[in-house]
Amino acid sequence: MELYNAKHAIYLPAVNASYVATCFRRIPLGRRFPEGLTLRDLMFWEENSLWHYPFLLHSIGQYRVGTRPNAALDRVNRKKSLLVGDSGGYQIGKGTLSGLQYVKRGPMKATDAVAAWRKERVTRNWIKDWLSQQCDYGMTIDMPLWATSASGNKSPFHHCSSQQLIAMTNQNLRLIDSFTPARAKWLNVVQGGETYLDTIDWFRTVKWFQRGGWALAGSAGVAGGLVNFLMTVLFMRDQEAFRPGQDWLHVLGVSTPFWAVILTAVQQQLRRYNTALTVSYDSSSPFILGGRFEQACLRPALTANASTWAIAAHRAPQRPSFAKDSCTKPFPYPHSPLGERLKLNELNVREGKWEPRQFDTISNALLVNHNIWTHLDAFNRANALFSACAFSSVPPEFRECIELIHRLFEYSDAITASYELEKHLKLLDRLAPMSM
Amino acid sequence: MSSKTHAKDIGSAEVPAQSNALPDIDPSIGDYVADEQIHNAKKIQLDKQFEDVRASAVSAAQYLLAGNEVLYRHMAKLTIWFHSAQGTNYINELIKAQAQKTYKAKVSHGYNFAPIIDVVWAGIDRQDLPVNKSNRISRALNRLYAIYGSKFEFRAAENDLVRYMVDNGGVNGLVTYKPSATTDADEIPDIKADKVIIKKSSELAKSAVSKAYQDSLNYFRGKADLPSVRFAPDIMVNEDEVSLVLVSKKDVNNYAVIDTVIDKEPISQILTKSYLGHYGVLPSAVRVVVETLATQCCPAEQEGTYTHLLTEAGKSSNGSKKSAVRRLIYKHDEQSFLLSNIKSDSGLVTVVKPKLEVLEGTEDDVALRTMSRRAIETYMVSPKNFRLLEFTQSIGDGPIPKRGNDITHVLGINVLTAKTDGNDAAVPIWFHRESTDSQAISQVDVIDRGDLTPQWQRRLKVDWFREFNAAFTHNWVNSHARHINRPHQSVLEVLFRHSSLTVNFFNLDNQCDLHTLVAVPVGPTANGYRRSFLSKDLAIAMLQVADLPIIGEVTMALYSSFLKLSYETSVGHYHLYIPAVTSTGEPTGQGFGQYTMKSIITFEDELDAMDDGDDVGEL
Repeated sequence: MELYNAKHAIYLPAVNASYVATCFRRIPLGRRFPEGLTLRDLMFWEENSLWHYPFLLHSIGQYRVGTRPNAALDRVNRKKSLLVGDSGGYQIGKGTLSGLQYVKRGPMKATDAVAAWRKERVTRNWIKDWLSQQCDYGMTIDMPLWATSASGNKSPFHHCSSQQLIAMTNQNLRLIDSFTPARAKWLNVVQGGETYLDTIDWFRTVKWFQRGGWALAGSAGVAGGLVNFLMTVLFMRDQEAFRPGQDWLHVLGVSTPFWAVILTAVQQQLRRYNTALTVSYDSSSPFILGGRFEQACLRPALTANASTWAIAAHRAPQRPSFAKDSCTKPFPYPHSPLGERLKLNELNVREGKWEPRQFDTISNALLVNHNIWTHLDAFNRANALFSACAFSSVPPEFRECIELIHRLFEYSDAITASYELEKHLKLLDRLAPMSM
Repeated sequence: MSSKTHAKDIGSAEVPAQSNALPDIDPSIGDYVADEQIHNAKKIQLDKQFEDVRASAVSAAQYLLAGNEVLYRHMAKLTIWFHSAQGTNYINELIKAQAQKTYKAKVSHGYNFAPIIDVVWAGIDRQDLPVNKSNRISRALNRLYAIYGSKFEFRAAENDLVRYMVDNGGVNGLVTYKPSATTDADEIPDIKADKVIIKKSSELAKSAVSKAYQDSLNYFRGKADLPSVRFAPDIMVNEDEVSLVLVSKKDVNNYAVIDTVIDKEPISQILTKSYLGHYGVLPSAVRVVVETLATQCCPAEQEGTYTHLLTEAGKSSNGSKKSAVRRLIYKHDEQSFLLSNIKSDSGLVTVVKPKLEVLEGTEDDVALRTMSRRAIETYMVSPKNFRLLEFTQSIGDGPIPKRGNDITHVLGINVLTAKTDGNDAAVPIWFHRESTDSQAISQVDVIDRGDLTPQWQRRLKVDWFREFNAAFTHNWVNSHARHINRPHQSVLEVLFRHSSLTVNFFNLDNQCDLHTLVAVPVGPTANGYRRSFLSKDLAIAMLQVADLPIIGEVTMALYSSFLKLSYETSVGHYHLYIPAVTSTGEPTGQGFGQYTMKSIITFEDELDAMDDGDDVGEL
């Protein structure tokens, strides 16, 4: 089965810098590696002999201000892929972006925070330059509204008002608009805050900037739950946010089979207004699971039971006895192209009594590759079940939800649609509640 | 946000469709586009100014020998230019673009002008000029910049600045040094303080090696009572007539020579360690304190890995982390010392019965101040540079003298680190009584009345511990200890067998992949016992015992709740308790309790207590 289907919403694996760097390393002499493969074959976004998937997201927020993101992702080095660049709004909001000069960690006085961000012109220019020069779509530099909420109590912008954050975001947009080439495409980030009116305020301020598409974040996106997300999309539709030219809608930070089918349904509906429109979503889950927690993802069964739609992960087998040359045990999760070729002693490569870990960074990259494929395969199969109307294999509440989405878009405006939506609040809140 | 409010929210949100006009600029936020335009214009201006500064550097290079005033003028120009660039990122970008290395933005004396000096003087030969000393000029420029602000209010004052420098001793007059800041050790938990201690002590130990090499050489040359061995053929020696000889035992009194090492570095390390670390040079009372603290303090050579062995003590009832602090107390009633964690339920426990009076005329329990303990650990216990000590008061074999009521016993030690790092350090040994104003602090104590029968027991030579550490502890600390917080590394399982002791580690799914076996003398029964210990506890105890000046043998005894190591030195009888834990690292909850210091309430204290009471009438 092809991993990419133009009819489905597109999952963008949020590739981290460490994974990219590992793909460009050479396999150390004597390190066991799956036969017939090289590290370049883990670079799934370009053609390779393992599996190819031409979409990815990369965040500049993981680099130090001023440093150059991995050149492997430069336009000139990418032949078969579409790169969406994240502006690192999350790290800016947290105050953890490395190399910030004026914005400090921890809450600042509102006026100080505003003044500090104003002075961070080097940071802004560094972000906008990379996104406009090297990415196919760049996300605009947003000052997230969650900074004002309880969960943002460590943010330097915690004491700022929503209006201040929106105004700073708008200044970022003006800078991007004035100093980036017209050919650069941008996804204008729409943030939600603690109340729905925050989303509306935000959108009203930023809607003038239309240079390619939108990105939904915070409670305007999945953190707001299905209800807020759908209301935001319907509201934006009413505002003609998806007219031709505004061809991309990205939803930040989600990667479940359930949301995959939800977003495919939304894409299907929005294409009534713009046939070129693509909906995408991203997460770093495969990388965190494989790289930090050293876990391997399991293939979800995807049955009529909703619990089978979760992508579970187990700690990958790591112990000294697996690092022996003589170990012939196969990787216990053979469902991915890499998993079926991988042996445990190709993951466990550090042999010796005094080796504290048997994995090396290549082992982590192998796990990540397996995990990405598992995610993509799960989303693809989930979408295929709905496309084929195989409703006996999908949870009834999921089907009900998808049918509701199709109905909501039949209404001419969001207000009327909201009456229909309110009848199903329980269902929607149960399937995807607000998480802010 | 309530889902039910959406329809109303949207209804009330009047968003004009197609209103894509630029919104007004909020002056309180600023205008980033205008900022950028101003920045670009300013950059052009600063570029021009910079060229002028560069030209002045060239002039200075040409004319410096003709008079310092030219240098002062250059520094004045640089200071004024520096001020002009404040509020912009111009200088950072300039340095980044032109310098070939990275710099700290701030240094101890303030702003780091060194990179600016390097950039300004790039390509100009300044080897023989005063500006060659970037750090010195940076200090001077910091001072000059401060004066520029305070005295001349940042106005165009190039001539005034030059005149100021001429009148105030030039660069020399501007350069100031300030002493390093001190911190209050009592405010820092052990998990943080130990990292500082081990780093400092490691530096001291390393530094002492080169400085004390000659002294140690002379000492051992003149020492008549060293045992002698004969080798045939002759062993090669270096110019100091020493060498390291690696031998392998063949049979009784017969050794095969494997190799000889004459390199100065390994020889000096071993020689100075033996020379400086001789416990016998310490006054006996101090030696008891040092030997006791040593049981739970890491030797300096473990720097770099020891921090992995440091853990938080646990969590308090409200879920916050509790930071453990070791405390050494003297129990007056039992005439013994107790070293263990306060604010904790577990950890190593050391109990010492001194062979002599350590603290003069005690009347109740006293504790060594945390600040003192850390100073002793930093300058004495960990680096073991005992021959570099000077005492403010000679106590010989007597006790640490009594002083007062709150601070009960005091002895000052001067550590001659001038021989090592160029500074002397004062190490105060201060014992004090616990305040009766606040709640008593409890600390871990062992429940061992001496009536327990060990399940397994062996008497072992100190060399056995060195062998054990060579086979296991040193390797483990340098490898697996890096992941000590992972469940499969946090616990070590030890098998106490008839003729061996086996450490099982890397325990995953109840299966240990790795083990190390070290032989022990054969015991009376063939019974074997299996017990688990926290990795950090076992590692620290085993590392330390091998390094102490033990007389005779060490008794290793296994009980249901702990492993007990007992030994004596010439100043005391020591018992080190390593608590047993479950296979998952949980305390067994047995064998240990809590101890609070017993303080005599003085007459004044009683009066105070009664003053606070409601029911006390007039006296």
